[in-house]
Amino acid sequence: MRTFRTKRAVGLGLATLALGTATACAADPSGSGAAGDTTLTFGVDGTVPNIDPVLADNSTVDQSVVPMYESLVDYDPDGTLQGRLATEWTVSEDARSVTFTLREGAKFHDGAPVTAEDVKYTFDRAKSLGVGVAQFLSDYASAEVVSPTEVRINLSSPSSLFLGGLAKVYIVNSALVEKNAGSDQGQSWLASNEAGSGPYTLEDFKPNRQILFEKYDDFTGEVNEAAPDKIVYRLIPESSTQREEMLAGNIDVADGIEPQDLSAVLEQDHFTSVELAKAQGLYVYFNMQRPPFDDPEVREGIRLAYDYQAHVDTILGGHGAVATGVAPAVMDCRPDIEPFAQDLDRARELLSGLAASGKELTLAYQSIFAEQADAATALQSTLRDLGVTVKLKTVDYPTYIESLGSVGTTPDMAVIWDNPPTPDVGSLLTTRYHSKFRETSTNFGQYGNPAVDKLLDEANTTGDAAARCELYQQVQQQLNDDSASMPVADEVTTVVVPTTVTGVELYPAHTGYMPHTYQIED
Amino acid sequence: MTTAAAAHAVPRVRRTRRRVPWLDRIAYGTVVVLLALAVLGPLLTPHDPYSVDLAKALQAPSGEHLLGTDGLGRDVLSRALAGARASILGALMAVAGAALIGILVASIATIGGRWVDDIVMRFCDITLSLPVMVMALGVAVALGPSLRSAVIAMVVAWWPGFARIARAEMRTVITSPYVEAARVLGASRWRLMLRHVLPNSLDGVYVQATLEIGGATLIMAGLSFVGAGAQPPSAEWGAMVETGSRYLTSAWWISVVPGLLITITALAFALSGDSLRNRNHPDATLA
Repeated sequence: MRTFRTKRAVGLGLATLALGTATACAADPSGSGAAGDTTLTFGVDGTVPNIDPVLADNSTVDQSVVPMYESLVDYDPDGTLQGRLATEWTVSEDARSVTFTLREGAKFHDGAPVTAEDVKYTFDRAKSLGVGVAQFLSDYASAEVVSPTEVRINLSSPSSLFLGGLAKVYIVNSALVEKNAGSDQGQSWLASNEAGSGPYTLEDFKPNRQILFEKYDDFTGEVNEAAPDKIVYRLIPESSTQREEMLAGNIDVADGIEPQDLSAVLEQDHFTSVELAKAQGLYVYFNMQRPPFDDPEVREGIRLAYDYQAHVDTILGGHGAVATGVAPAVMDCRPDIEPFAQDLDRARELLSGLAASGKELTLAYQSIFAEQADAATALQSTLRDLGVTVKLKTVDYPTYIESLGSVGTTPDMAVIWDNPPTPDVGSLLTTRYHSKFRETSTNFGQYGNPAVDKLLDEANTTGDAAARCELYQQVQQQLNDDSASMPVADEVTTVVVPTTVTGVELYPAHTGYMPHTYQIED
Repeated sequence: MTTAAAAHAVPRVRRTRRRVPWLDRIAYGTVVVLLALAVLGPLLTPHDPYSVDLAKALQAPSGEHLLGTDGLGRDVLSRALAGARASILGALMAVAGAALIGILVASIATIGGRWVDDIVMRFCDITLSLPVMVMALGVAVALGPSLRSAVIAMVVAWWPGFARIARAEMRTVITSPYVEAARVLGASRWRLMLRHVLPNSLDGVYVQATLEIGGATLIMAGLSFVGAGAQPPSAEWGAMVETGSRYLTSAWWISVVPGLLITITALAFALSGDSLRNRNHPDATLA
């Protein structure tokens, strides 16, 4: 147990030296906490400038807020929807409202009880801000406080996606947020403070650098006794840096180690790895509201130009599989679609017009992620051979998401990791391909097709699971025929943990870490 | 007879000063080769430096790929040759730009009177107090990362150094008797500056520029390494080192080849600059 603490202290010391700043001192645990505290230090890639739980649709933010907050319901690793803050819920006859009963005695970290009022406040706040998890509340109309522990949610239209979408709508302490609301409904305050009821409290937050969580002793939910006493997130975007930090003993857990570096890390006896087949894949999205990608044949040409098998073999080092449709292979309700394969002759034919036009296309990618950079470079090279000029443009995730707010700023093409908002395939299809989400930052390709909209609307208002599945399969077939996006590969995430850690499981609604579910053996 | 005796009296000093030391010769030679590479490199590549071939990724040096291939199957030798232009000419342009601006500012300070001189030179001091790398990084990121931004950023960060050197020399020259004489003869300020002061005060700038090219290569590579300079798929050396750093344990050649080239370039230019300075000011010791 103590080894983690010592390692971490050394790690922080080194980090302090390396960065030439003294800020890490505040987080040094040596002065606080009882002897024998367990600490797990996680290497986190991506950027976390803001920990407002309303932004938890982004998986990096989600993994940063999930230890501190609770949602009403969430999916268990076996895929069933379970209560978290809610102990039970009943859907009304007409499917237009859901009544939740909250857990008896649930408390926020400041001691205030979690009430129906807080649920209402959280939903209203997200809805009115219209960002992040608001996409899961598109059918939310209003909330009624029935009693302090009972809340009725009214829907504008029946939605089979609504309950699953609540997995990432984290309930905030309304009194605390109101007190610090300022003029932006507490956005600037929640960006660096927490108001949750989860199993951990926020001890320290340095934007894009480090987050320190400490166990909340009065947590009334399902307590994980073997969970670490302290959790540290260190933001290390570069995978090679993560590898070095891991080898130096400065981080205990990492999920961003590149395939070719895994063996070096796992040679060390105190590490082991867990492979999680997450619902995450690499995609190329087109801006389909602008030439040349308003033409499905041009999109198909680009799709046929790429060498998918080589991507999986070389760039992913075999840790993944060629995509077989717009939804990752681990999801339910998928049609049978052949894995896409390269066909250069057909691609050349389909792209001849684009090549002749001499138009320069922009391909956006996140340079901090090696797979995206490699895929962007490889695609650019193949297209160059076909006479199509592509200019690579590096973006960071928040900028990319912001650019999707309008067709004019959406890049021609973007290589990006994507994961379904919820484990229900309908949520992926609806937020990514329904025209009502165009220019809202979730429809990455600005796609719009009345036939698809109709099928989706029908599926999302159907209670019959088999009928829904059937409709979703039709949608996916249609999207594939339309080349509405270019799914490249399904990923397998390898999480490296110390051998003393167990309980690393895949929670379908969460792509990032679930550190509060980890167990440390004595 | 007397001249011969005088020559005989100081043979050592003269001989060492006349003969270029072997290290300097190597440095000059390397500089010539590097400049030739910068111009001709992209024409000499055995393979297409930008052609991705994933099936050939991470091949060790062999007959077909003399310096191996990178993580995307591109020929490292071809990329190193193609990158010479961006890396070396980029650094040369940055230094040339900085020297030009420095000379211009120094000229203004020299002929502009005390007030102008004070303001301009204090501004130089402020800029000089910031580390070049930090300042260049800031400017390059603000302009949007690209090779052009990196060059502009380096000019912005570097000109004050040249301005100081040029101004110091101009101050000395402007008070020298022949300039005084010209002034007495009624030469205008501009004529004094252009005909007498400027041509006689640039030696230091030339030497400084040569010295700085080595450092500029390093900063240029550094900017690209951290992602503020040349963008993929460019074969700039710093960017190549960065992409190869992921494979350092398994495929060393991807980073080591451009890394060595950066080192050689920086050393060759720095040594040449030093040698030039020593020949100009023989009493100055090697720093």
